Amino acid sequence: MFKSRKAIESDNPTEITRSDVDVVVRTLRGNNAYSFLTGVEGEDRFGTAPVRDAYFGLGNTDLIGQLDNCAGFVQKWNYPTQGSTLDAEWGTVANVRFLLSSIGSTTQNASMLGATVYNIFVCGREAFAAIEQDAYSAQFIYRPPIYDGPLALNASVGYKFAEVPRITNDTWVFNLRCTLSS
Amino acid sequence: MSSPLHAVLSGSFTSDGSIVNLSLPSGYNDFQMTNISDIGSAAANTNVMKARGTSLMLDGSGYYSPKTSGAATIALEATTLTGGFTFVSNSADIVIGASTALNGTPVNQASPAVANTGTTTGLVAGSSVVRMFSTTGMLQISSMDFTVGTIVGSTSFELKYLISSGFAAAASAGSFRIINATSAFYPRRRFITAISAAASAVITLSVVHQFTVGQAIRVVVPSVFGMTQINGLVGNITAISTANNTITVDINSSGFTAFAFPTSAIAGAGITFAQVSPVGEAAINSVSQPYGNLLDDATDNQSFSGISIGATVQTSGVLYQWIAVKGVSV
Repeated sequence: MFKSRKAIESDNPTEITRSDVDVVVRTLRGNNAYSFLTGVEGEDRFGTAPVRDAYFGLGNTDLIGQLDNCAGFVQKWNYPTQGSTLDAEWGTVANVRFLLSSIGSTTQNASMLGATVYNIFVCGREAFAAIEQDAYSAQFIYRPPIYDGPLALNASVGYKFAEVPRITNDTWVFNLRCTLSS
Repeated sequence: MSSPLHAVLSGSFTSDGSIVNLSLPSGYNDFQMTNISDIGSAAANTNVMKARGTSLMLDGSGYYSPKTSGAATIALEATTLTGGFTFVSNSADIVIGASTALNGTPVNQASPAVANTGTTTGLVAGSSVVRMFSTTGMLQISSMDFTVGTIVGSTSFELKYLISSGFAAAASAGSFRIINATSAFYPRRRFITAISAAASAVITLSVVHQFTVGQAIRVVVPSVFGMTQINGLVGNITAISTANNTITVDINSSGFTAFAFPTSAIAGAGITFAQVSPVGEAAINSVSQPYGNLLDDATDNQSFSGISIGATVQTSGVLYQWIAVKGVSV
């Protein structure tokens, strides 16, 4: 876990900065973590920039804007090609490509001054795995409305499966914690 | 013909007097339980005979009917706003209490540290967890969680596992919030408040840890906490103390630099807390159990969805049968 910080700032952690990302990348590289994605080679297209091979950074959509302010941020629409971008992707800083979700992790009232802390999980390839359990295959279950009652008003649909999410190497996962700038 | 939209579930449990967390599929909105043990009994007790709650009630409230002492009849039904039923969507949804100001000497230099406040409502000694913040002058603990020790009503509470006597100054301001739940996966990351220099390091943690012997943890100690040599090491837990909330690990720290909190000024500029992170379970090698199960102790999701049955609406030692009902809202 690492807290984003600036030299002179009132809260702890602070908003995310380029140096925070560099610390994370340096640590993951130092722990021999494999990057998730290969780089995107530069092309002769206006406004684009090559993208380094990268780890995934999984965060909350509230970080939109904060990431854009990081030095060296490249929005995904400025990649040389859109072929390898992901729907959830927002952009890249150094060797981290950020995937944002509205259910990305936050910790309420957890900063030094009581502000919400945003957890960005930066991970290398094979740092975690989802291990499927034997003899319990996934099931998609649809129950037609006729089973609900004589008027067949309600149907239900759902799925179930059994698997174990597991961190396979804890030195290849980093929690970069930050707050939002005011 | 059954349907998940109009479902009835039932089961039973024997009460031990403590809160029962009952896992149910989502959407149940009526819950009733019946005393099986005391039917026909004229014993001199007031055991809870029947209790019920619905999902629109306030958390912790409910209706319940105690037995008439000395007769095989049921007394008038009573209601409660505490110790009743709580319908839980996801117990891992951490509910954080309102900010409460500290006063007097907000956090003193003592062993253990004592926080002063005029509002101790909701705190329970030994189990409540508080998150301290804006502790001016003692920013080393700002945003850290602590289990609460002895409480003096409307006056103070202990930060049970923090020794602040070595800090340079007491806090001159600050606030706290009560943390009303815990994260889903067991075992959990915990902040460190002390590490001994010993052949087997003894690590004190700020919140009740629930670790067990045999589990493996990684120690993370940023340089500002002094004992840099232990940073990043993985140790197996060889002993625990619930009284002192410590774990003993097979790491020889006797030659290491002493562990110490940074100054408030350094903390204010931004630090990462010293902490232990669970990384799995020590391998088990024996004839009966040749392979260590390395998954259990890092993947146990202990959260639940269902209903929490409080102590007021049950009696220890009694067998209760329960029925949970849900239906479509109209």
